[in-house]
Amino acid sequence: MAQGTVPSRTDDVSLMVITLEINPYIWDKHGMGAAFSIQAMVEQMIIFVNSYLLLHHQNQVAIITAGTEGCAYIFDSAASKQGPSNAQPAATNGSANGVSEEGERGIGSILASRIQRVVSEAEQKWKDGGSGGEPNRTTYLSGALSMALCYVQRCLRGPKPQPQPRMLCIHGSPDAPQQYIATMNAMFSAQKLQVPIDVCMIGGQDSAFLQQAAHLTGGLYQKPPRPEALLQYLLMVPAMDLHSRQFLLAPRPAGVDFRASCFCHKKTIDLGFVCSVCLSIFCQFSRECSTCGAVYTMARPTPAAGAKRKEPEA
Amino acid sequence: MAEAESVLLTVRAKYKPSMKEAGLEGVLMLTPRFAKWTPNNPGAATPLSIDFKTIKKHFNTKEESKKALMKLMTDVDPKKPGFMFEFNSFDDRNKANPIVGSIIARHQPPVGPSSSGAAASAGPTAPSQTSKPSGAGRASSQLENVSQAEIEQRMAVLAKDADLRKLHEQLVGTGILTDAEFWSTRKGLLEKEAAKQSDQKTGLSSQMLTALKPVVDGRTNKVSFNLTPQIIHQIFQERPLVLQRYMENVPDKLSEAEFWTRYCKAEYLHSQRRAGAQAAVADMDEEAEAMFRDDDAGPSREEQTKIRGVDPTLNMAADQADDYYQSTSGYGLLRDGGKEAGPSRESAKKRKIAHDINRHAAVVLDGRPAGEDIKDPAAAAAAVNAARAAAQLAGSRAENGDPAREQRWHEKLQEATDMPDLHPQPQAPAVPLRIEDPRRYFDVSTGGPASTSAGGPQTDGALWAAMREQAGAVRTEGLGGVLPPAKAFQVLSEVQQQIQVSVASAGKKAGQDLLKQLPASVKDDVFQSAATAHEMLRHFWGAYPITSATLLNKANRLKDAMAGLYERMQRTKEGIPSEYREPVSQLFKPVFQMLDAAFAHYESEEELRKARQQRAAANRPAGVNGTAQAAAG
Repeated sequence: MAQGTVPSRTDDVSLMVITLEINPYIWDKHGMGAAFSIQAMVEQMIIFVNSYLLLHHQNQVAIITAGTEGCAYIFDSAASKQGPSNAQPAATNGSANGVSEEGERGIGSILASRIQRVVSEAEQKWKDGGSGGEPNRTTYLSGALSMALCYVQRCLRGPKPQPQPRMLCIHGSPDAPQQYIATMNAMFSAQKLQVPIDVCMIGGQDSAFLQQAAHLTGGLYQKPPRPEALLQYLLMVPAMDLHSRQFLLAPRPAGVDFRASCFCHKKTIDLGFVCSVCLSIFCQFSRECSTCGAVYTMARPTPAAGAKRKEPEA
Repeated sequence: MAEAESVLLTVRAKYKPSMKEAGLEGVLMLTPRFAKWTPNNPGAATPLSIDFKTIKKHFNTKEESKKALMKLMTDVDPKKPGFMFEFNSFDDRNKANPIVGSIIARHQPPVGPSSSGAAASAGPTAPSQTSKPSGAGRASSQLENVSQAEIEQRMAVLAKDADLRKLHEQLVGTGILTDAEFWSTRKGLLEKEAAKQSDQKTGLSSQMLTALKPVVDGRTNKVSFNLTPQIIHQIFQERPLVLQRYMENVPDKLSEAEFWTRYCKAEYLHSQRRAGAQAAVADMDEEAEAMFRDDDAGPSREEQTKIRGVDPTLNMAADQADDYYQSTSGYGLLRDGGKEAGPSRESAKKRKIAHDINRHAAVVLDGRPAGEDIKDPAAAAAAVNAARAAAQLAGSRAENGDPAREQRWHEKLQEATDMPDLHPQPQAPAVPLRIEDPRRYFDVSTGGPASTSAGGPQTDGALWAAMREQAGAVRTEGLGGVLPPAKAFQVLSEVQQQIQVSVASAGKKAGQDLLKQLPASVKDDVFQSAATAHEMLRHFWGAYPITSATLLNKANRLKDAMAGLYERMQRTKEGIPSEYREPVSQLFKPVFQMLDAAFAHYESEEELRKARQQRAAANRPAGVNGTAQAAAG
């Protein structure tokens, strides 16, 4: 893609930032089915990350979890290589004390223990905040994307030559319209940074947000019909480095869902009303914008009365 | 038809059949289509009526020049003859200039790579334009409403934006839209342009007026000097002697012209002397030179007062040894006087140069009186005298320690350093975005994934526990059996199939940027077509709902133009090399869809209108009776 032309980045070393969705509502037996559990997902991810790191000795990988209770950095391959002295990731979110173990332990055990810790911490948080009204059930996708971009940004300010950054979202839950604006902003930042966002959608529905993210940034969007074989999809498609993508044919989705969700009823619409002041989207016409309060004045078409319409430039 | 046209400007102007002739007095009238000139004396010449369609270009003389001339060219080549008009003043000429400019711009055929396309589109639209006499009349009446300032703004905006200029040529140049319609959607641009234009003062140049450069035409022995009021003002400032002579001689002893001729002669003589061509100037007017010869009479009265004003405790011994004017080897150096040679011709020359430079420095430091607008030498002389008097006054006040002086100086500094183009840009008028209640959108909890699986028997707590349990069961070794080979093979063939399908449907370049595949010329064409279509569609939809004949007329006009554009785009699509046809047709697709939607709307509206007319016709008998009764009553 476009990244291949940036001379300060090497074309065969990659930095991959992976976001993993850790949301109990998609990993339950009803959401995903018995065939694919978070256990299977993590096990396959361990293999994928190991194979990716074997592709080039300078390849880097960072993993971020996205959940209903927040996001966390759980793995950073650069930290283990540089040794324990400056091994602290930027935001360790309580998992920092495990970093120094990486020298002795394999990636698999580190990943597994971190994910276990993140899950139990999230459960604890959910229990602590559970009493206060409706619990949040949506994944902080926008937060995870933002953290991934911060990580990429940090690498891009590091010594040259820099690896080619890209992002991979393993996502399952449907879009959260609440995060529409934040998610879109993260996408536009990624587009500006020339960081492609690859998406592997393991949930039941397509995600319009992530489709648009992949489309905007030149990444690859995939919705595997068999999520239980996630590893095979990951090895075939997102494992391609950006340089190779110029020569290889990747599966492309037939179309991208560009529809936006309306602000009034959160419906996904393809034709609607847009506020001329704040660009809020509505599925119904109203005389006043509910977001910014702008009042619309309409020219009243009354052809029967023969009322003269104001001439432009009169 | 010609009489019906509105007159945009009527101004007195001389018609000059050639540069040499004095010109015939007359009146010039500008209408949207013609420039008409009628002589004051009907017998002197035949009246002229110049069709702007034949005019390719117009030229103006500069403001500094003697005459306010405008030349309308029938050919782009400036050497070919054209119609030359001399205006009575530059003000008159400046009124006419933007009007002529905009009219000529409107009649210009479009230029650039799009010209062939525009010519093709002119086919269907041009006849419809001429068949409607109201079209031109309306355009002219609208043109009349536009102030000159706005015309200038439009020209400036077009001059800056090449894409907009092309669009303007395509739409306004071919008569699809009127100028007013085109600009009505771009008021913001014009306002921005208007905000930029301001009467910012240009600072004073510290450049030295070294010598007047004579212009030699080479054929005759004539040498001509060009003096503008500004130059005269500078001469007066830098050469007090010339000012003194001017005050003494003009207008009692010499006329203005005689005085300056004499000055120029002296200057020329002087420059020739400097060049060493003594013989050539032998026959020149010695008298003229004598008049301006600086006879070094020593410090003038003015300077003497200055010298007297020096701090009495200052040791002036060095100055007394070599006085201000006679010093040969540097002012202010203490010498014994014994070694000095007498003033030679060479040293006098050097002294003159040093003196000139000093004088210039003094003029620069004095500054030019603010707000000056010098039109003639007399005014220049007065201005210099006034400034000098003011400076003296200020000097004497300064001695008295005038506190208001510093105040004034600060004010002046503030005024002079006020740069309007550095002011914050005025914001375009807009309703400020005021999110009244962001929670209405952001915080409404519409079920995330839970809503899809809400029917499940498990509680949230159980879900969390299940996830924790599963995460705890992750194996880190012996992962060989995670993915059975059969399943992997299934996925492999699936993805393979998916790729084959996408290659078959969208070609090998699927997913790549369509525009990047196109060569620049095709890309330009695509952009141009899309921009034109968007502009037309904006105006087309703006014409609805149709409530007047004007709007109906506009909708019809735009529909015809859009049909032309549609055909042209089809031809473009078919005409380009086959390897680019696929991306171009994909790029054109949304444009075609938009145009189709507009045509569909036009047709449905047309049917509605016809139905309404029929209904009105059916009801008419009653209406006719009604009016007849009313008339009878």
